[in-house]
Amino acid sequence: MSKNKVTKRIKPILFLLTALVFSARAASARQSPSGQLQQAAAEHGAGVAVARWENRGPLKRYKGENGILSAKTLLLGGEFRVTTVMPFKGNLAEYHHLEITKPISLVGKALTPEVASRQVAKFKSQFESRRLFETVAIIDAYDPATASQRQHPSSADAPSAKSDDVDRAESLDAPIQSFDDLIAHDKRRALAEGAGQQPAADKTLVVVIEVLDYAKGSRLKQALPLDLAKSILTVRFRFYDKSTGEEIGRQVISGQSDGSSLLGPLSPRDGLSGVADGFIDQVTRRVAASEK
Amino acid sequence: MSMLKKVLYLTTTLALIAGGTGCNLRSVATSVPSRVFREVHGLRVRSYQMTPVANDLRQYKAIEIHKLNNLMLDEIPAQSVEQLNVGIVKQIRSLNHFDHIAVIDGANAAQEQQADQPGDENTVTVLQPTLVLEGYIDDFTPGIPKLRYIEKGNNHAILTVRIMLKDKLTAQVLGQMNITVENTRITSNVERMVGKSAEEVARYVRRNSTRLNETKGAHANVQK
Repeated sequence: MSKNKVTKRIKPILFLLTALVFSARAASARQSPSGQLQQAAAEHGAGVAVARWENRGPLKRYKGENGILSAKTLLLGGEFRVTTVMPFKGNLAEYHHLEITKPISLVGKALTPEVASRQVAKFKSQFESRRLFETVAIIDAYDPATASQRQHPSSADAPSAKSDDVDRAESLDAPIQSFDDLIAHDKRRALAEGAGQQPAADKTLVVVIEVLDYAKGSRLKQALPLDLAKSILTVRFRFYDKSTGEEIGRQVISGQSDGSSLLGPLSPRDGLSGVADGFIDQVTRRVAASEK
Repeated sequence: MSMLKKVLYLTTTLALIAGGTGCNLRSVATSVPSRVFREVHGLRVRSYQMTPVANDLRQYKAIEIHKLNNLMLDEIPAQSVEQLNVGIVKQIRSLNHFDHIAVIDGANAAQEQQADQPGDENTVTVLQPTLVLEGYIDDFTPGIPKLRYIEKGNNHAILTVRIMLKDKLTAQVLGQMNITVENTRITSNVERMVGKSAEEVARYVRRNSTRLNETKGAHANVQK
């Protein structure tokens, strides 16, 4: 084959490859939240930073993960199971802030503080990268009892008294008031409506983490065909509405990696990877369902 | 030409079938040791000492067994909960260590007292030091038996209970243990796993109530 013929054949192949690379990059920029944010930032100019973390646009296309058996778990391991003990109540899309407590160990000293910190940091980083919430914070602890105590007196007394006053002033039997009074009433009504909407926009979801079972595992022993030294992590997640202290959902998520995947013990995934995937997936699919 | 195509198609099909069968046979052959090992050691226990027993519990000759607080709600069948509670009582009775055993239902504690010894049980329990056994069902899943056959996925059955030993008079927690029983056997069933959990709870009570416990090194027993 002459040189000319070879170059003629290579040229269209190169062109095709280049076109493929460009189209793939464009597609990924369209799909990924970071790509969208970059586009938005570019549109608004370099001086305007995108301050808000939240970006729920890509959730419309979100499909849940199958943690028990999927191509990912067959290839890399780190499968997970989810047991929903208490189905979620309310609309999860209303929550724009997330607070994750440091894991409470129900396995004694088997869970060291370093491992606990690693777990919660992984949850936080994955939520941040998915941009489901405006803010994601790690807190030391959360006591739902104090939250509900705080909420009840204020909600029972103050708003009802105020609304009674407004009702009385705006009733048809009330005497006709001056123009200034009417403006003052309008302002009060607007404030009351604003106060009613504010909590919904600033709702915070608190997740309390309790570790029920933990074994670090050993990759060396996993290489033996004896089903030994699995990496296991089982966690109970309790979801609370921060303002009311009400438990709105409870799930147990368990992740494991036993070296039986295609990559075997060389797989980078462990029990924590499974639990993190399961946790993020469960919250994401509920937020996505509420958004739709 | 068409003849050649047919031959090519047939050869490819045969090669794919042979390859697939070979892979399956290979995977079956290589999984035999782990399957055999799992059938023998598939019912595993992981236990974690949450509060090590520091006191001498040999003085306690009476025990109050409370039904476990079910944190899994409807996710665990009622008959499994019943089997677990009844099993714990049965296993502790078989220890023959306690002179007096009372079973207390959490819902109506006053009425449900069932004492082993005749006579005025309340007087007996007030007079002698009494151990209280209570706890929680933290996790349960029956697993997926079909996936266990092909050895894929997160398929095993699990039951996790948290047990507390308390002094009745002072309400002081004397010891606390988390016990997880996992069943990965292909022939596994939930009943066997629940029975094993009851055995483990009774073993924990026996270990701490019949001899002076050595707290050193009693933090966790993770079978690997």
